[in-house]
Amino acid sequence: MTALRGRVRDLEGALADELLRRPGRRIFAAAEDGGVTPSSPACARPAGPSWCSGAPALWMSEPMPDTLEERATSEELRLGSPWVLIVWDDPVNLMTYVTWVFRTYFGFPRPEAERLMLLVHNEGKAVVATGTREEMERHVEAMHRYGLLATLSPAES
Amino acid sequence: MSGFVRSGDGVERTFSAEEREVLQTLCREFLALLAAGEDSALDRLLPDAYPDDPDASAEYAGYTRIRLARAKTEPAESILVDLGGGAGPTRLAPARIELWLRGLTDLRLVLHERLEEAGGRDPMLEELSDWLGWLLSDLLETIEP
Repeated sequence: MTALRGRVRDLEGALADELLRRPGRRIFAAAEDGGVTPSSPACARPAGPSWCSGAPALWMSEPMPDTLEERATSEELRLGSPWVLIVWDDPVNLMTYVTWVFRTYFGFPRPEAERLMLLVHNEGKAVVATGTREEMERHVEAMHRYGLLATLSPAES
Repeated sequence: MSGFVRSGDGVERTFSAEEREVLQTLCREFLALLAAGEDSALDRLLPDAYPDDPDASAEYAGYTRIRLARAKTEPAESILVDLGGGAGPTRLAPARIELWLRGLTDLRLVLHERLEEAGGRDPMLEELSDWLGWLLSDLLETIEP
């Protein structure tokens, strides 16, 4: 992740001009301009069964109570649910953004969200949630919506 | 021009005409990329879920990739709509803020992929990514309670 020091920035007219007037090119050339590899074949497969999930909480909504963690633990004990959500570091995302995602989506208090973000940043990855495979798939998809890198694995692996 | 400021229960920022045009162009290109459906940048936007299990990953992708790709259109479309109000401050209602945060993030992800493909050598794309990153961090700071 990266951290940007706060400084006032306006996209300077000269840069904007250059970007917009690049002869024959858009700002980021799309696939048909050549030189990019096609994505994996999986993208061509039809959509499967529908999946129901609560939308990620907006910053204005009430944070989820910390009973989430309690609930996950008792569920684990009850069902032996052995899957984990792993969030991976990446070179693009801002540390403040990752922290915000953890607070907004999981409802973690700020110190916990920052602790997990720093784990991801310093260790390269961190376990951010545990539970059933279905729950972890839901979380992975949510993380991907936010632009984070996430995977799920059996807890013991 | 400066950063975002709180405005009522939302936020606002005044974008210059050039900034508006660049951001709108990026969003349009991003939507075209999603619609085209085949691009190396999409692999970063729609990553694998099961790192060590290609079969499970392919199965997961089968029922999520299209849904996720559709979900990715919403932030870019929202930014376009919000910027379309003409000159003057661009005001974001609370529900739009998360869309902008996700949209700016998605644009930076694609820019990074393009930079990588260009061998990491494109000062203009780097500066553009830098500016988007600043917008993103400024928006986050502005909404922090």
